Amino acid sequence: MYLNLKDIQFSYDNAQNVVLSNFSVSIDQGEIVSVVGNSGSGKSTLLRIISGLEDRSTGQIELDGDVLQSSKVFVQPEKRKIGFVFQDYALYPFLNVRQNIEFGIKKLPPKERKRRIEETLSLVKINELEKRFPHELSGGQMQRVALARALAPKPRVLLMDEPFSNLDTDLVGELRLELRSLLKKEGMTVILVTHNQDDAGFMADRIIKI
Amino acid sequence: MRKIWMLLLTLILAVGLVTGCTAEVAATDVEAVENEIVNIYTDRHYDSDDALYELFTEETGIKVNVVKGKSDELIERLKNEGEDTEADMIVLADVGRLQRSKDLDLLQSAESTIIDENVPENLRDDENYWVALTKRARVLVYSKDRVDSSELSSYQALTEEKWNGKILVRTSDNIYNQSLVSSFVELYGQEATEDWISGLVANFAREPKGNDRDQAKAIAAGEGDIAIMNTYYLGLMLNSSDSEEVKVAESVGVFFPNQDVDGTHVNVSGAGVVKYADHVDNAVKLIEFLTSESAQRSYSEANYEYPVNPMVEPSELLKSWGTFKEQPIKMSSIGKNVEDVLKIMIQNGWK
Amino acid sequence: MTELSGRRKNHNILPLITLAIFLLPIFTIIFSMDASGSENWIFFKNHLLPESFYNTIYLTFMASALAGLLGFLSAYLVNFFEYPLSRFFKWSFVLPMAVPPYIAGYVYAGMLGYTGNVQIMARQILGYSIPYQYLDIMNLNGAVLIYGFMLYPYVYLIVRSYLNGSATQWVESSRVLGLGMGETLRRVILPLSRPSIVMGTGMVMMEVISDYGLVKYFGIRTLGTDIFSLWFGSGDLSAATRVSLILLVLVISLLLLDTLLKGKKKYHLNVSKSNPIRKMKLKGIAKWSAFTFSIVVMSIGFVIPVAQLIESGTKSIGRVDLSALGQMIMNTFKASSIALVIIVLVTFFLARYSAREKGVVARIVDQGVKLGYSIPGAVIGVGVMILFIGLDRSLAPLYQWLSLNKSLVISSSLFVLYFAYASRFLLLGYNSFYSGFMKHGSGYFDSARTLGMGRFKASIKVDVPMQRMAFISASILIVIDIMKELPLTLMLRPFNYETLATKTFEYANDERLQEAAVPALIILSISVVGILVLSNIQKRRK
Repeated sequence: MYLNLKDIQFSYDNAQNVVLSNFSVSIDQGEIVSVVGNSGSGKSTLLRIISGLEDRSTGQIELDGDVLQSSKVFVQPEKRKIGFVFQDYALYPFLNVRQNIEFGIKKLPPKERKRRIEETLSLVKINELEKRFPHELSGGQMQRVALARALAPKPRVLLMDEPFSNLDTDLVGELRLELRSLLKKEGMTVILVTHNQDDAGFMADRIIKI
Repeated sequence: MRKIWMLLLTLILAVGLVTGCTAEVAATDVEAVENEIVNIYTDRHYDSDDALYELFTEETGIKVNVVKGKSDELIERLKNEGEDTEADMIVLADVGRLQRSKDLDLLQSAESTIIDENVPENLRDDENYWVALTKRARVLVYSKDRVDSSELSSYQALTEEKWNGKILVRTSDNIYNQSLVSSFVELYGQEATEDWISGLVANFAREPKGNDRDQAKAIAAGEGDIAIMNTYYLGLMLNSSDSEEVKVAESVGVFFPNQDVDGTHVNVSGAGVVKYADHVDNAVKLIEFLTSESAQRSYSEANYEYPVNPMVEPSELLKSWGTFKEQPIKMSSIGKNVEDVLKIMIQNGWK
Repeated sequence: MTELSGRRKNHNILPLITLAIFLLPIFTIIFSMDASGSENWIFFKNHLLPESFYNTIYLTFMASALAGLLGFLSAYLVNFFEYPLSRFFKWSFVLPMAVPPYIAGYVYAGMLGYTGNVQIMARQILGYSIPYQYLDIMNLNGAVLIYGFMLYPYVYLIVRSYLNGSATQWVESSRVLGLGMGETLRRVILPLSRPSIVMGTGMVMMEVISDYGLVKYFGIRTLGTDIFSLWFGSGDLSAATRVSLILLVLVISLLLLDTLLKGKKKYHLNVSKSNPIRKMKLKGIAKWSAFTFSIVVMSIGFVIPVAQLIESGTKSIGRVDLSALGQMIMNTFKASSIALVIIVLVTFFLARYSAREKGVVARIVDQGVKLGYSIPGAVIGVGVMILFIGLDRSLAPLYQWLSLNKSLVISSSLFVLYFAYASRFLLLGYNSFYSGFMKHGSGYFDSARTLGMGRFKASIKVDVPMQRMAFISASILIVIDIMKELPLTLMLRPFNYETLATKTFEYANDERLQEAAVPALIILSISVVGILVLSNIQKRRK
């Protein structure tokens, strides 16, 4: 399997409040998985654990043969090569769209970097927005930029936290389909967290309830 | 919205009136016993002074109200308040300021035979606009280890080559220094004074800084060998609660300069009756009291200043430093020059 | 159809008038300047002004740079990392705010001086006299150090509350995009913090420019001390006014620079939930350098001066009139409460106005309020005095008619002092309320309006309770600042009126540093309590 989570256990500082207990899942490369659950069920925490932003969990995580987390190992988030689209997008307000996308691939040689930016810009169809700043964008546009920024470094897995919660409902239907075909085209392995059964059904190859 | 603003302005006004009026009530309380008070502005902040005022109240029944401030601020305040001032008497450090108050027409003549008896003529204004309360000698303080008192003679000798990098003194905006220079202008003329300043500056151990006590400490630290400072600071240091200050004071000696020529520079703190005083008689009584033998003794013993009343002997400590001859000039003539002195000092490099 | 609407009202005039009342002392000074440069002025301009100007600029920029560095680093460390005592540092980093720079100046000059503990210890333990040059703090760079270490909490507080509140997601997204903490600091945290750093260092600049006590004691000539010496030393009001104007221009340019540097964009993220950041555990060298940095900053800024004050205080407490101290504390609290009432009433509405209206007038109000706080207290003090004596003179017929047998009714009362405090510290109330209004937005007010309340009622029912916390923090800040205030109080106090600050100043000025420790310690303890309450409130707000 491509991504393996084994016996993931998580509780906040006070041990009573167990959010995840003995959670295990395996995901194939190129699979799109929706994680569904009520608020407080720990679905967002799961994404934070996978990305390494949460270091208080126990259990084992393996990705493409690399151990990301075990009782002995903890790989810092910046070394995991995992993409993350945050619920509020977290676009840098002091950078324009192009610079936001460039943010994670500064280490590439300039030519390659430029090519990669153009690729992702056209992939999410926002070429004309590249000079704008985040506060000049609509919600849907911000989501596209966030997606582009997460995809630019070619992550091994893409995590999306409630990708549609901040968008107008009439936009969502169209966007879901477009997003799914785009991710499929890229062959991206995706874990998507949502509280909305519809979103999960449209987007996912498989639905996991927690 | 407009209502809010109107309410706001009304409230401010109300607060203003309430506070203004409470202050007013307090003031009228004082007013009720009008003949029994004297209001003074003073630059003397010593607890021993407060004790003297209490004693005065006990003896005479006259209550003393005090505003403490720095001399220059008090003068400015008096100037601004004009005839509306509540001050009856002003106590200032340094004759230059006393003279300035007189020149600014802030004072009136205090005629009293008792004061005339208590204070010698050269320590009073010609027309009794101000009267000295205490004297301070501006002396040379030297390192007992590195300097032999026989090497010292006069202020002028401090410009000699051998004192290069040895002289310590505070900044030129210090009024004690200004008065010292002013007395030079009066005694030796401007040209000689300027030469003296540039010679002195050339021998400075460091850029002038700190207060009088710091000059003595700098001697102990080895930064320089000779400091120009007022006697009473050394007295305060010798009696300090800080044992290290005492050690510093014990490591230095006092030398009265210019004894073979004219005399050591002496400055005063003094009092004057305010021109628009409401309680002139009480103010005069207070000055009479402060120049009396008992009060003069207290100044000398608690604060190590020299009494102006010739009937009173200096305290034991002061006597241990020896007696000395004072510069042969009238206090009032020092005060006249002070305005220009700062410029001369700065132009000749005294920071 | 019935006529529902009333007339459209123009509410731009009243805020301006209110503001103008409190800026009157400053206007008074500007207008009382005469055109002819006196002899004093020409001398001053040629011989002294260049040095004073240089010193002022040097102190302002170097001190705020140091404070900015210390404040940002400390906020960054406690916000993102765990290291020994980091939780303790998180709240104790604000404490140096309780030590007024002039008191720190007295303490350090005393300590490092020949009779101070440092040199005594060197002499007794090492048997060695440290060369005086190495310990000389009474100079420009010494003042920079003292300002920097005492004032950095202004930067720390603003940056910390910003990073703690809204930076989490940006930092986390940088991590998953492959940037380590070092690079995240440079490429995300610094640019995000820039507006708060600029705001904090701006406040430090104002504090430095307004300070009189420290530079005076260290014998450093600045534009501020020049005003004093020209005015009082030479009695030359017009020359002093000119220097005040130079200072005024300097302050206004700094305010403009501040606006410019902050940039136009407001980095406001509408986060539905802001997660507290997951702190990283530091290890090895990083851990100990963070710890050492924190210990050094805290010690210099707070622990050492306080310990020294306690030592001096216990030695000298017998020689200080303690019953008088009680009266001084009462004076301080009475003065601060009255000034507080005035400030709160005025700034609540001024802040509300400029937070909601956002027009030219709102901008003028915004900048105008800052002026009082940036102008040295002494300048405001004399402005206030000239102003009220003038007012009393013109009211003289009224007083006669009321058969009051005195003519300086207002200017000899405490009201003058209270008014001066209010115009000097308007900004403290304004800032608290302004950020309160910006935070809550106008939604609550608007919804009350749609529920049928008039402007006035809606404001009382909705805005006032929502600003409760802002009110408490404004009160604490104002009480602390008035307690420390020096030049205004020295100038304007009536007969027999002492505060803790004036007593401290008097003792220190009479070269009695040990006695000065007693009132200084009281100032410090009250400030510490206030500051701790304040940071607790901010924590609860989160």
